[in-house]
Amino acid sequence: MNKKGKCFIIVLLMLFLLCGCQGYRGLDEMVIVTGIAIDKTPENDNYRLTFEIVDLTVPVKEMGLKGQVIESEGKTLFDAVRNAKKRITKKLYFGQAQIIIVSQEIARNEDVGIIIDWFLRDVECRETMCFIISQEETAREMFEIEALTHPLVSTEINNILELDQEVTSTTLCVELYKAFGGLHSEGEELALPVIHKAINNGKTVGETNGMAVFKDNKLVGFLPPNESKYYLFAIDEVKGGILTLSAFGEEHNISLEIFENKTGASFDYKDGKVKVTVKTDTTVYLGEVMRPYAPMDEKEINELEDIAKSELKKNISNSIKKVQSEFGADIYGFGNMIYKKDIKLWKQLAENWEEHFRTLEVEVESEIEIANTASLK
Amino acid sequence: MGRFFKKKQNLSSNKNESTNETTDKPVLFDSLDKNVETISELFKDVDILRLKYINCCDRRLTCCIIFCDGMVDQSVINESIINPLMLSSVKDTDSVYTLMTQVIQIGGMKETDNVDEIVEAIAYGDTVLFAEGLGQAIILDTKGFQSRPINEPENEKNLSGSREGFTESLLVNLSMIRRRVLTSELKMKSYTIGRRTKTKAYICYMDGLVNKQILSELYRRLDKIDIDAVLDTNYITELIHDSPWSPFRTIGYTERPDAVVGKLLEGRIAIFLDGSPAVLTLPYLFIENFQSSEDYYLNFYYTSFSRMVRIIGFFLSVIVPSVYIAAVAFHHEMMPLQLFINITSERQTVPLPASLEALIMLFVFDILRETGVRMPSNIGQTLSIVGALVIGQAAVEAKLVAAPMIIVVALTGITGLLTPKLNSPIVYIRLMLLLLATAFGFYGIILGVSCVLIHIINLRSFGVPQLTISGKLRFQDIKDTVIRAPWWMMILRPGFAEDRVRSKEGGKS
Repeated sequence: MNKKGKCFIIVLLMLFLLCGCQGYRGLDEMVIVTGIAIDKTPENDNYRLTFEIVDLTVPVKEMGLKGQVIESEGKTLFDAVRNAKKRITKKLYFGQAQIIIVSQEIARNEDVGIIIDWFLRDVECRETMCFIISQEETAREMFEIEALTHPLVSTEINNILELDQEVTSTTLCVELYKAFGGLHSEGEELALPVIHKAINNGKTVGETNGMAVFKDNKLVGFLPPNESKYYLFAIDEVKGGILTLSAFGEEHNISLEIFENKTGASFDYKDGKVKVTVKTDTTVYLGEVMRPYAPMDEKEINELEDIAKSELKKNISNSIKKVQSEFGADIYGFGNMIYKKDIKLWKQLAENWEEHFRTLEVEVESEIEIANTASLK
Repeated sequence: MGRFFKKKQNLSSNKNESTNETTDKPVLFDSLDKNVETISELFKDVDILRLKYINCCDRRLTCCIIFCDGMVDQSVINESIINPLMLSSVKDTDSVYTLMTQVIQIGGMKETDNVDEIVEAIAYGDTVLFAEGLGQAIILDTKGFQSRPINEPENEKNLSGSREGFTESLLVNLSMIRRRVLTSELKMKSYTIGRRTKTKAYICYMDGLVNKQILSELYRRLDKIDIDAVLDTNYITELIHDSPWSPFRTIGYTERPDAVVGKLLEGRIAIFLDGSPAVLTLPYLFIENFQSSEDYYLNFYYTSFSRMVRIIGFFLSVIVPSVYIAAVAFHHEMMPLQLFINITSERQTVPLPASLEALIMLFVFDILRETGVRMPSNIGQTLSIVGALVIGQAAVEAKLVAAPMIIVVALTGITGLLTPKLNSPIVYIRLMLLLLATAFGFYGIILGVSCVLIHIINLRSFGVPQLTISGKLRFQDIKDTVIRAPWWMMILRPGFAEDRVRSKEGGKS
């Protein structure tokens, strides 16, 4: 064989043998996990994992899609995952898992970074899984709810969360990689979406309920939906939703639908004090005016814009003040902003940033434009 | 292995030389009897040979005409040869030219003293006239054999445009071309291939458009052919192929005269072979696999879309089974959840692994296809029922095969039929990609596709790269590729043509 042929074979072998591919795994060798709930057993402090899996014992095309729940226990998360194999014939497959629900108890007592670790290390798990805090006693309860629009609870919760930001702007779906970023970046604390049970037509269903605030990677409190919306305003994550306000002599309620919002934050260092300015610029549509029909003129619209501006400004600063005083956790990432723009200043402040944050002067400026009044015929 | 082949080739070429040396040109004699005896001896045991002696020119001259029964037009022989010979009263009979110019009333004639030529003429349906005392014979054109009537070609049906198709008769085929190009620029050169069959071939091209280098390269390759018989143009295709082991075509073929004329006017060369309705055209670009002559007869919006469908169909046909296997066996996270669940649910109850299932089902489809081609057309319905119902539906109901696999195989099969000129590469590339996907998933597919692309880029047709890849993308070069631009935009011919300008004004008034 000549030199060329030898080279060819060597290249071919390298291409095929050094590529480090995963092995062949047939679809009938796996159990599809769609969601994971993490709890702790009170007796021996083990982790108890609850997996929602797709029920494939009967063909989907005959019986429709159905979920099933598998529970397992272990000293560590990975241990618990492998222990699940004791009850089922096939290995769990995490490539299509959508949500991780963590119980309040774990979130309050343990560093969430510890929980995330296995999911980030594992090959199969996607980093786009949604990381959620359950407001109920345990996380596994959430898999017992009756899903209204999708046969699988995990998909239902995932879809609720993903669309919530665009329709109500009260919760934010935090993917695993973003949560990891929130845990490890300087001058920023983590906030995660919250779900709880609600009663709907006599059935227990799942519902989003604002955001959970973390400090030093541990849960410290919750922002209910009416406050979390303004948190989303402050961090520029508002993509829709309704602003309600009273105008025209207080007795008439108005709905403004948010079309577009842009928030920018900046800071100023003067006389040893940091001052943060948050500027919001919102375009809204006039959606609803709850008063007997009367056409609006230019003047009234301008008046309405002014009321909306001051209302929004008030709400955002109130919500920031609450977080400052109650939790002292910089979930807005103001510290991170200083870290990115003025590293020297950050080095001075970093040591006791929590104190600085609590006393931080935050000024909110809001701009609202009513682009469309959807005039009645 | 290589050495072995080389040896064998040497052996065969030696043999040829020796046979060439022994055949000396036999020459005619003056004596009529001797000449007739020579021919009769050569056609010994050929019982359709007919001899007829005639005393002509007031019995001054004895002639003999020789022809093959059934190959000639009897009425021409009777009225234009025998009748004038018998009635003529020409006095001067010591030269064939007298007979040729004053007696025989026939258009095509030629004098010769070469016995080989005479034998070939008799075999091809001509009549040969020998006369006493003349050392030459006259070949008279009396061809009159039957051939198939001109029909629409079955394999290249068009919605619009000419309905003519080539037949097995060389001269009829040439007439269909000649009729469409009424200038002297159209050249038709005859050529003979086949040591034993002496098959007639014609090489046609437009003088002034054709690239002379390609033409001389064609002659060089044709001269090298050493084979005893050519029964179809595919013999020639394989013998003068640029890369003999490649499954891709580097020489085109068509059964449509209008398509051949179109190719000639783009500066291509056409090879006609007697007895074959398929005409070769060269050089052949890769994009011609997706072109059809109809593309130029219908609205350019419509045909541009059809072209894209054909090209996408080719890619689908090659890649769909392997992508399915890669997704199902390696990259489960690639599918959306609902699709993933549905496929998984289907696959729970089937016995075979997905890739084996794919191999078997593709093979079954190929069996069905091959049967469809070979069997008599009146039982075609049975086949489609057996194929579709028994193998498709029943196999899924019996849980032998997963339903998605049937969809994949059906898609592969249907798209494979879109480009009949790429049939042979499709089968092999599809199989190769399937095996690579089984072993390495998408990584394997990417490797396989890269290999195929490298191969195609290296393909040449008579020195012209099949995929004309230049560093710069010029709009003029892609006007007749994925899209078919309107005629007023296509003002240039393909790059290999000698004269590139098709129309100066762009044809638009």
